[in-house]
Amino acid sequence: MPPLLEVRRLTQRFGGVFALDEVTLSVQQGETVGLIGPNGAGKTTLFNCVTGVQRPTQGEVWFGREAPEPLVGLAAHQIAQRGIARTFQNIRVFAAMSALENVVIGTYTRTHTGLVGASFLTSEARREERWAADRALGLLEFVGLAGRSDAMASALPFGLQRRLEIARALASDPALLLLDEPAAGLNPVEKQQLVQLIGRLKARGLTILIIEHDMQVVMPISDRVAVLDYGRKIAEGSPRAVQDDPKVIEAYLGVPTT
Amino acid sequence: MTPLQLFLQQLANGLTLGAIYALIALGYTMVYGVVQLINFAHGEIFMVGAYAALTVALAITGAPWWAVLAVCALGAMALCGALGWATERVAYRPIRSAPRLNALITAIGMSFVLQNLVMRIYGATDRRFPELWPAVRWQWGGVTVTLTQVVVWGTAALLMVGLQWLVMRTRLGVAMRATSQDVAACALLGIPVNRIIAVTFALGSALAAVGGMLFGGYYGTINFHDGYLTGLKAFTAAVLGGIGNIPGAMVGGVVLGLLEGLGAGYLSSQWKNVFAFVILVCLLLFKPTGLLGERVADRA
Amino acid sequence: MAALPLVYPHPYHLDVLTTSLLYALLALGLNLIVGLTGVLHLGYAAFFAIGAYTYGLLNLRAGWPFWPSLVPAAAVAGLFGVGIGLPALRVRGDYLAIVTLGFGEIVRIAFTNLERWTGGPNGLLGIDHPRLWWPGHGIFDFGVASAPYYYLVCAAVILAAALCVRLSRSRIGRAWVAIREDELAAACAGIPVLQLKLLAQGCGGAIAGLAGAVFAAKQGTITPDSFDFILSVMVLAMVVLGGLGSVRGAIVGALVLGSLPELLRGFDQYRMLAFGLAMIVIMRLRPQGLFGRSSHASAA
Repeated sequence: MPPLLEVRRLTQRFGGVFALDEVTLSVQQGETVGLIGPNGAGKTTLFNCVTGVQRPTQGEVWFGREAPEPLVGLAAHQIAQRGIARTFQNIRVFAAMSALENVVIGTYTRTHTGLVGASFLTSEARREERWAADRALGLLEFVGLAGRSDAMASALPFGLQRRLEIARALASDPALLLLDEPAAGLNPVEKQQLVQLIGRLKARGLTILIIEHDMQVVMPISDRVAVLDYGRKIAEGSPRAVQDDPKVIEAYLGVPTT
Repeated sequence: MTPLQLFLQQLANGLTLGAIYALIALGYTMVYGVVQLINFAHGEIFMVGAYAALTVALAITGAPWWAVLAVCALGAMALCGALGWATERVAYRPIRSAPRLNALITAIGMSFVLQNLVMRIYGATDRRFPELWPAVRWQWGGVTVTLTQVVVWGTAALLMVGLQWLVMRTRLGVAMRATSQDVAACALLGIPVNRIIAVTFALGSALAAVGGMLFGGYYGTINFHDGYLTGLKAFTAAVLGGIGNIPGAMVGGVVLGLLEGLGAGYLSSQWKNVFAFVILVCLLLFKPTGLLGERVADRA
Repeated sequence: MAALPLVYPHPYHLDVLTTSLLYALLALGLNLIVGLTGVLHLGYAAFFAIGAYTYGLLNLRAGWPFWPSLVPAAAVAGLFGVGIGLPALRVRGDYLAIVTLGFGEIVRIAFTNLERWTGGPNGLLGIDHPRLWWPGHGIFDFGVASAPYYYLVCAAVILAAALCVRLSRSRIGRAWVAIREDELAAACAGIPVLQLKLLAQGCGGAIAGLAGAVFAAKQGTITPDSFDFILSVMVLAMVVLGGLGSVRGAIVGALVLGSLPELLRGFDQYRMLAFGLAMIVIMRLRPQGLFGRSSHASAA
């Protein structure tokens, strides 16, 4: 079986700087892959290239198991429609919308009501509206936001905004979920809850690619870990193997160990 | 007139107009540089400058024309500088961290306030400008150059050289350039960012004031409506040169003035006021970085 | 409120109210573009003008009566919105505001200069008032009375408001607000940003086109002057006062600012000043307007 996501020799250059330098990475269906590396290693750039936020200078991204499709050149919303959802390192919830509305937005790709349906409030539109609301309520409960559905997103505490973002991403029923530093800014208790939440997502069979600095978060949940440094992939393997890799230690500590 | 003479004549006219646009465009570009705001009220400040010069000129009698001109310029600069500083302080600074839509709406509101205040004070009809300089003209091979044009060119050139010196050679200029790169970093380094921004508004406004005085002297009349259209054209000039780019604003102003002068001469003066808009729209659509600029017009 | 003409038939006040309601119709349309989608549009008067001229020309040149002309008036204005949006919406942020302003001015100047079709600065004269077949009375001509137009505009505002409420609570409306709040996050959630912005411009344009046709039928005469930048800004001020994105707010904002000259009888000349001040003060003290949801205060 081909992988669900395949990144081939992806390169992103800003002027003379290589944010990504021929990075190759694949994610199998049902797998959780951790993406680690020092600040500025190109992790978020990789997410941006996969989700269509940036267009890579060179390289390919293929997505889909049965009939893999190239993603480079597609717009962000087209990639989302194909089943990739993401969260952001610096939370981007829709501040002036309620928690429920935020998650309902996530169902956009799974619903169809257009201008006519909305104007005349057809029975189809009404049914879809109920379906989306039910789904959103279910997801809010799933991430631990039950009872906060009417709260304005901007009024939620930081940790809950992170979960709201995850619920919004899940609402599109993605085949692949990209989490960009979901534990950043969380306290130890919240981090533990996050690990549990991701564990439950894994249990549902969701494929996850996660950027994370915190080893206590990324190590227990990842099936495989890839390490980026200065835009290059310097190591890949099981969490344990990667942790002991001298190149990885060097990259993090900045001292040669050989 | 031979075709060459006609061309040179339009060139001279366009250059005059362009020098005035450039003076106003500098304010747009400097303010955009430091706070990324299109200061919609800047055109009105230019218009206030014209009225201020008019008032000063009417008050002084019996002095040689160049002395009157200098006093007019200084008076208008002082008033508009203060006005620019005050608008920043009262309207823009309190909402600097708010969404950009809010700042732009505030700027539009400010433009309405200034326009209507001037209308209340000076009336809605055109005001005749007193003669700021004698009506001297020279003929060179069939091309007429007036003292008006020489004064406009000279004043504009003087101010632009002065500004360039200020921005490139003084501590204030360094601080302004630094602020336009990164406000937060400058604040951390102890640069009084608020003061730099206020000074930038004041400086841009003072330049626009001189533009207003020259505009009044050139056309002979001023109306409270003039700020809007001229302001937009000057903004076009700023975009033409690449917004945030000071030499770009100067070049953009002159280029726009030339295009308009030549367009009015050769195509149709009826559509004259559309040229600027068409250029502006095409430019923003196809080359938002302007002729010299490197800033990308995508800050949402 | 609908029965007002029966209880209080003062024609002048009724006329002021009808005009305010026409503003409300415009504010509802602009609210879709600026309020919900967050696209700052400064040339909205152009859509109003296109609707008015569409009916005027169809009536005078082809003899179309009022009612069937409503469809092309709305359609042409809506399509124009989509048409200019297609290139213009590629530009972002403040620059988009300037591009829309440029388009608005180009449309107005074009209507002024295309004399052969539009009658130039004198505009179109002698446009038919609406006629309606009334059971038992035969054909009723709206003529120059105030009451029939009041009923007509009232009905239009109610319909448009109902439509806007439904849209804003629908999948489409939510996507618009998501774009306003965070364009990138919206795109990553699968929302086709450009397509939805075009839809907003099309809907908003169509409502303005409808309002334009009603305006032309009521006045009987239209000139390009009626569709200037000041109108665009006035409608924007109404939307801002009411609260960006709020349907109720757009209507209340239009009624308040539209009847301001009556409330400030004798201070008529201060109206524009009041508009400007209102915009500045609201942005500073209550950026969410009278009825808007408070949002950015904590997020920005």
